[in-house]
Amino acid sequence: MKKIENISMGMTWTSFAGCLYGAVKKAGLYEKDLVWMMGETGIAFHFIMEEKSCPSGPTVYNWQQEHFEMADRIGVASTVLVRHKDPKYHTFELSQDYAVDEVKRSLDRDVPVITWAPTPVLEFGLITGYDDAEGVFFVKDCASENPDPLLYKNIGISQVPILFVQSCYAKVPYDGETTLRNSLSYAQSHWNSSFHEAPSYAAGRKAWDNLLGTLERKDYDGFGLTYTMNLYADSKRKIQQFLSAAAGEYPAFRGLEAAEESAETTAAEMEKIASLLPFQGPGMSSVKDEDIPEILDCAQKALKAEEKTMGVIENLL
Amino acid sequence: MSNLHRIQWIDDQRRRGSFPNCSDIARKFEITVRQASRDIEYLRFSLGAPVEYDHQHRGYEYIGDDFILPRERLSSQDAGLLQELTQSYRQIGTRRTAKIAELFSRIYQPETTEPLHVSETRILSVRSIIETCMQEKKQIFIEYIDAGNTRTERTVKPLRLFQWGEHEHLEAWCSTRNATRQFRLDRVLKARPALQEPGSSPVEQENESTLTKEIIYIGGSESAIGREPYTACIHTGSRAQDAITCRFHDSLALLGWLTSRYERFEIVSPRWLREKAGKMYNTLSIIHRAL
Repeated sequence: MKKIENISMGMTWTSFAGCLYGAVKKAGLYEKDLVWMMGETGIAFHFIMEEKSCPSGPTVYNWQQEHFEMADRIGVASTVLVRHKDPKYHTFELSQDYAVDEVKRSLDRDVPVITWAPTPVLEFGLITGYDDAEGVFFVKDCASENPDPLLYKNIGISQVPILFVQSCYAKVPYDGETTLRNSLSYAQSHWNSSFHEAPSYAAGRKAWDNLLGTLERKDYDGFGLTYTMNLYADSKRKIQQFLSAAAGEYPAFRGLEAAEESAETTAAEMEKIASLLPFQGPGMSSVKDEDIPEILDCAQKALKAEEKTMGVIENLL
Repeated sequence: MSNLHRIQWIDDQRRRGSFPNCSDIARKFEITVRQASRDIEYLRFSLGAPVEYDHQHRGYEYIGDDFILPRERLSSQDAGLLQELTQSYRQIGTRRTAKIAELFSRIYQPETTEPLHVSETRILSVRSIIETCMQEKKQIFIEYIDAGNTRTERTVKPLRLFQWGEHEHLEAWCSTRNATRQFRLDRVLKARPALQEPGSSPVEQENESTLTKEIIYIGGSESAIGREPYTACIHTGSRAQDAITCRFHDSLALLGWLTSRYERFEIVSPRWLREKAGKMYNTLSIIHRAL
């Protein structure tokens, strides 16, 4: 039996970022704060929207590649295992066994492990301990203070049945300025994504088109709109804070001050939207039809400001 | 910092004329916005506060001046436990457990006599029919309108009533879809006992067949997504044959069920459940003594 106590997940709507922060801080693999981590990894720049604002938007991307790269950008070595539970696969149970062993190895090194949906909440969570006698992992999620544990045999089984396990195992020194450049490059490529791997989803600039389109057509998923706007209001604020901190830290990137100004506008407009869509719980919509014109107006202003931010970043790189 | 402290802070902010929102609460207490939104839900649905979101001030306010936050001498842990027990009992869905839930809720709502979830005559009527049919193990015919305004007529076997967010729901075995479904009570337009008595749902079949082997299944939403249930060994008396095996998906649902059914019981395994229950019932006995 093993239990890692006193783990603090990062205070963010992006559950993967919160989990990664909790894991690397507990393991002593990263020293800066959450804003820096979300900026340097690049996850703060994620902006993915489905055509009708499906709540899955923020988590529809290539977890295997992106989560590995995010950790790598901050000098953290990690292994990532992703397997879809598909009836046509014969070996899913073997992957579960492999994942269970991998998780326990990491926990034995006192490093919590990031996983997908350890509880019925469809978000990333942390595995913080295990008990072989009872075949359970102790877990933390973003919704409850004392969730029930996860049976070994249930790892990877949820309403969105994907087995995802990421364990961080070492750190290497990295040059902050290089990482800043890399994360800004990542932000640029995400912004300029011409297509997304899943149909009806779009990332970066095109994600704004999806958002504006669904608002104009009024065919949005009410809960999805509520959830994604709250989540992205948080992300956009983290971008502004990161750009501000980075401009002060690295003289070569002083020019980010101009980007920070427009990022502030984007964050403020998104926060206005979030205040019109207070999060009330899973599946619950806060959308009021009469607020849509104001939300649309805020979204247009936020987009305009973000175009400016990305323009400044492009010129700096 | 506990839930009760946060609730008191929210109440205090409101009385000072501020309009706290979830971000303010999250920032103040270093919790997630989602946890903060649960505090608002708790204030609204469990404490009965007339909380509404004020878009102009971007925060929550009380509608009217009548609401007073209960100032019982309960610790936050105690209050949290009572809330969990209230929800668990309510989820079990029998009249007796609904009554117990109401009594628990009154401990921290001494001035509230109205059930929290009753708001319309139609819902009351639908609820009454469902409760009767559950007791008499009868199926119900319902006319239902979903979120997309599609009307359907279904014959369902009621399994339990539960509160989720603002709305009360019925979980039932739907003969039309041949699967377990949840229905929001306020969207049930008509309800009446079904004319014919079809067979049992798979959930009930499992209950009925396994009860004789003293294996009890406490279902839950996770069963629908293919998760294996937990298994617990419970002693309900002093003799070895009094031991039962429970398969369950949600520890709170199990503990609520056990408490409603047995005066005394002991969790033999698993250890994590014993520890969780120990903490809960410890707190409960402290509350009981205090009252």
